Parts: sequence; structure tokens; C-alpha cells
Amino acid sequence: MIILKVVLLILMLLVLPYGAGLFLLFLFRKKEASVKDLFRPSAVMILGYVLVFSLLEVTGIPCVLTFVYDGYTILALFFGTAAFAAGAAGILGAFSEAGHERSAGLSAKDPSFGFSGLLPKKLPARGKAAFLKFSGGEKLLLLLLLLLIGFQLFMSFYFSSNDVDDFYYNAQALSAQEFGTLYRIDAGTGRTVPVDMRHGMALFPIWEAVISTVSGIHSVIIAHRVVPLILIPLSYMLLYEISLLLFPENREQRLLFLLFMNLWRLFGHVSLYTSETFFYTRTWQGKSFAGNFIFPAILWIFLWLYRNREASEKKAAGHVFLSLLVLASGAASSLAVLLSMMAVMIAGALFAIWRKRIREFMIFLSSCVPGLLYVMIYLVN
Amino acid sequence: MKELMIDILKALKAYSGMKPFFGLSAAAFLVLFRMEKDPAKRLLFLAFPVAAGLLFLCPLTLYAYGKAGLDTSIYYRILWIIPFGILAAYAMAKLAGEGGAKLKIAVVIISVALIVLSGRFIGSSPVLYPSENIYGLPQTTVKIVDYLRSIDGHKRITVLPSSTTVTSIRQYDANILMPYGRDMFNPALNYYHPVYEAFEKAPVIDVDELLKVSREFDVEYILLYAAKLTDRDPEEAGLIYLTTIDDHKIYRDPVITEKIKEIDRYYENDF
Repeated sequence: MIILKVVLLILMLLVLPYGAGLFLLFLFRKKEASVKDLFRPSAVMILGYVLVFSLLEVTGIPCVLTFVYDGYTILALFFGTAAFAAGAAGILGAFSEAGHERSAGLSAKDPSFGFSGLLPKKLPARGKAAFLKFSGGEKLLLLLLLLLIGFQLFMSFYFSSNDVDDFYYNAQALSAQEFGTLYRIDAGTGRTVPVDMRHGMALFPIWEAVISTVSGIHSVIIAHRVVPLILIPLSYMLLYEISLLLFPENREQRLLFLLFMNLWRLFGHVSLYTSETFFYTRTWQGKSFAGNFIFPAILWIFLWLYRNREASEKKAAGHVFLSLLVLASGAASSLAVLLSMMAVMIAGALFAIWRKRIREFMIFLSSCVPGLLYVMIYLVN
Repeated sequence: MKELMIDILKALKAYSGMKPFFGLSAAAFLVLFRMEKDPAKRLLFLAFPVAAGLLFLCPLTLYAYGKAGLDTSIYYRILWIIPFGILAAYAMAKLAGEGGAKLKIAVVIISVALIVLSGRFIGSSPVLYPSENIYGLPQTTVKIVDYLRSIDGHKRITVLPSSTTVTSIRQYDANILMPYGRDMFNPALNYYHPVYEAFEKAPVIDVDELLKVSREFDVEYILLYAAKLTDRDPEEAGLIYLTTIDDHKIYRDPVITEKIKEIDRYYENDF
């Protein structure tokens, strides 16, 4: 039984998001040559999670607004179907493309080539090939990094957090399962209330509830024990992707950057309010996800869009990723949507001024449309 | 305007914890100001933090934030969009790559020392405590709820929680209802609840008064923390003592048990 639960968790937390990431790359494979430099497992996983949370919002918000009874069940069905479809389409698409690559003889020598290099079969060879290029000092740094990340995962198990908002957060997820409704039960008392629109569109706890329902593991265990095992490494995958854009030519500097970031997080508890504190004390809450994943991911996309001073308007993929990020931030909180739009607009305005192209700002503004719709729905309800 | 500015500075002070940690990001800013040549990175690591920082410091932003109905106590979260850590780590790694091996080692040692000495290790946080179980909840809560479930199955019951269990009971079992939640313990909200007044606020609990109000909310189980004083033995007032778990005496109110049974019987006959 435990094995089945672990298999289901792997399917929902690793396979489907990875497939969803492949799906995004598959969509842009021909139109956008620039996505080729995102053909790394870490980038696929990051994009996959962004798509999964976007799908959660797209399928979930109508359920919150429309269904008084059984909203949770319907959401789980809609979201599950959408996430499964995206994941399955991505995996099938990647296998199909890998087949073409093989028949064209493109992926025979290079384990990191194209879609072939993203499939499980090639991942060990790819990792080995990359590792062999490491110098002695770099191997030491890598070991240190793995130990530090391992230590953080251990801490997520060793420590519990008496965070004051957890009473709302986890009880909301569990109430959805127990009562079948979405945000219509007061988390503190369990009594029926009108739909709580202040939190009702931020569906992060409901995502955890769905994982709990499918796997049969208590939702508070999912939140406190399982989700950190995913979100902590995911956040470091993102930082790794950022490091590739900061130091494209120098592996050692990338490793040092990641070392400093690990320490920065571990020692960033200068107050209860820093995103670094949230990273460990509220890892499973949307707020931490926004601070430690969504906002750095916006920076990542901007760095990617403007690497080698390329023109942004040619890269529809980047703008679609930004739109998805803004939408995914809605799963974290309504404030996160405003802040992600603020970040996109500030950075977009700065780049438009630098390049003296107002059109570029308009394109960034269009990336915020999902966020603006979110705010409108929030205000109307 | 002056008051808004003071509020912003207070938020900044609270955020920084009055530690020099974020000073490293400021130093990194100066390093990158001199060293960074790529215009896109200059925009993202120099212009963007300044623009976002100015927006945070602008009293009009806080004014608009409040007017938009947002919770001003979390105004500090605007600071989250500024990549303080990435800025610092980028500058440190960039500096380390600028010279020979000796300079590199020196930069790494100094950088690590600065982060460690100016920051505060998360493991020392008062929010974190060694886990008592896989749920990440207080073991007392798990034991109490498991006990209640052992006598009541998975029925929907109403429990009057102690101040130490109020936040965790419904995380463990949302089928347990409570007359009030954790919000009652937040003085800033200034909420009123008759059961809270009789149970938590009263220095000595007037048991009859408590039962008068708790029965209005169908409270069947009462978790009486040992430190709580009562004006008389709750059993004399009609409550049934069940057991004691970690300094929590658990009582059942038979009046409510009977009321629920009656309701159950009514529905059984009805269908």
C-alpha cells in the first residue's frame, strides 16, 4: 500500500509536471528556436510546475465561483484531467520528437540533444557526461551543494513549524476534502460561511488536497512533509537555471553562486518576514512559493529573454511563460498576482526605456492580462 | 504623508531585523555597479532593485495599497520582488572569478563569513521545533483527537479547544467543529465570542455560565487545560469527566450528546 502511495506521489509530483514542461517545449519547438536552450531537465520541471499551477487556477477558479456543493470534487476532476492531459501530451510529444531525432541520426552522439536528451533513458548518461567535465574543485563544490540541499531537506523533516497561518491553510485543504466544498467552510471553526474570496482564488492548499485525495495520504502530511521535498529542490533548480544565464561560460562560478544562495537562504532568517524565513517555516504555503519561486522565475525569464541583447518581441514563448507565471502566482495569493504583475511591469518598462521601444512594454503588459483578469474577478466577487 | 513614511520605515526595520544582512546586497549593488557590463543585467540587478525599492519607499504606494483594501501589515512583501539574495550571490561569485586562485579563495571565505556572521541561522528560529510526529502537529493534539475518535468514530462533533490546541485540531481533523478559531486569540482583530469570554477570558471559569453559552453552540466536548481554574467541579455542574491527556482534562456535556442523539433519531425516522 505504501509503495502504491509513493508511486502515485511520484506520478503527480514528478512525472506529470515534467510532462507538462515537455508539453510547453513541444508547443514552441518549431516556432521558437530560442526554446532550444531550455532543453534541460531542470528547466522542463520548472516550466511544468508553472503550467500545472496555471491549469489549477484556470480550472479551479470557475469551480470556486460556481459550485456551492461538490466544488472540490469537480475541481479535482477538471484539474486532474487538464494536468494529466498536459503531462501525457508532453511525454507522448517528446517521445515522438525523440523518435524523429533518432531516425535522423541527430541524437546518437550527444546525450543532451533535443527531446531525446530529456527522456529518462538518457538522463543518467547526460548527468555522467556533465559530471566528467567537472574539475576536482568543482566536484568538491558540487558535493558541498548536495550536502547543503540534503541538509535542508532533512530540516524539513526534523523540524515542525508553529506558524500562525497554518490553522487556516491546512484546515482549508482538509475541509475541502471532508465537506467537498471550496472555501465555504470557516477554517477556524468548521462552520458554513459565504465563499471566502479573499483566499478563495489562491488554490495552493487545494492542490495539496488533491494530492492528498489521490495518494490517500493525510493532507497535513502532504503539506508538511511531502511538498517541501519537491519545492526546495525545485527552487534550487530555478537558481541553477539563473546561474546558467549569469555565468554561461564558467561552471565554477555557477557552483559558487549556488553555494552562496544556499547559505543566503539558511542564514536569511534575520526576521520573521523575509522570503528566506518563509522558505523553511512555510515551505508548503503559497506565500513561500511566490517569494522563492515565482518572483525569481520572473527574473529568470527576463534574463533569458534578454541574453545576448536579443529582441524580446521575437520570443512569444518568453511572454507566454511570463503570462503563465503571473497566472500561477494566483495560486499563491491574490497579493502575489499584484506583485508579479508589478515585477513584470517595472522590468518591462525599464527594458522598453533602454531599447526605446514602447511596443516592447505593451507586450509585457499583455503578459499581465491573466493577472488583470484575476484581479477583476476578485473585485467583482 | 509623514505617518505613511514612518510606517514604511517601521516595516523596513522589522523586515531587516536590524541586522546588517541586507547590507551585503547593498555592497553587492556597488560591486555590480562597477563591474557589470552587460546592459540587461545592469537593468535587472541595478535599475530594477532601485525602481522596486523606490516604489516600496514611496508613501503613495502604501496609501494606494491600503485604499485597495490590501492588508497593510504585509506591505513588506513588496520587498520580495527585489532579488536581494541573487544580487549578493551573483556579485560574490563574479568577484571570485575575477582574479587568481588566491583571490578566489579569499573572496569565497570572506563571502561565506559575511553571510554567516551578518545573518541568522534558520535552525535558531523560535517558530521551528523538533517534530513530534509525521503530521508536523503537536502530539497532544494528535492524542486528544485520536481519543475522541476512538469513542465517537468519524462523526461531526463540536469541541471547545484549549488555547494550545486551537490552531492544530482542525488541521488534523476538519470534521471537528469548534465554537471559535484562532482568530479569537488575535488581539488586533478584537473579536467577541460569548464562549471565549466565559472560557478563555475569565480568570476563573464560571462553569454554569460557560455551559449556558457553550450549549448554544452545541459544544459536546470541552478541553480544560490544567492551568485553568473553575469556580466549582465541572462534574457537579453535569459534565462527564472522560480522561486527561497531557494536562488537558476532557469533559463531555451529556445534554448536547442527548440533543444530537435526538436529532439523529429524528432523521432516522424521517427517512
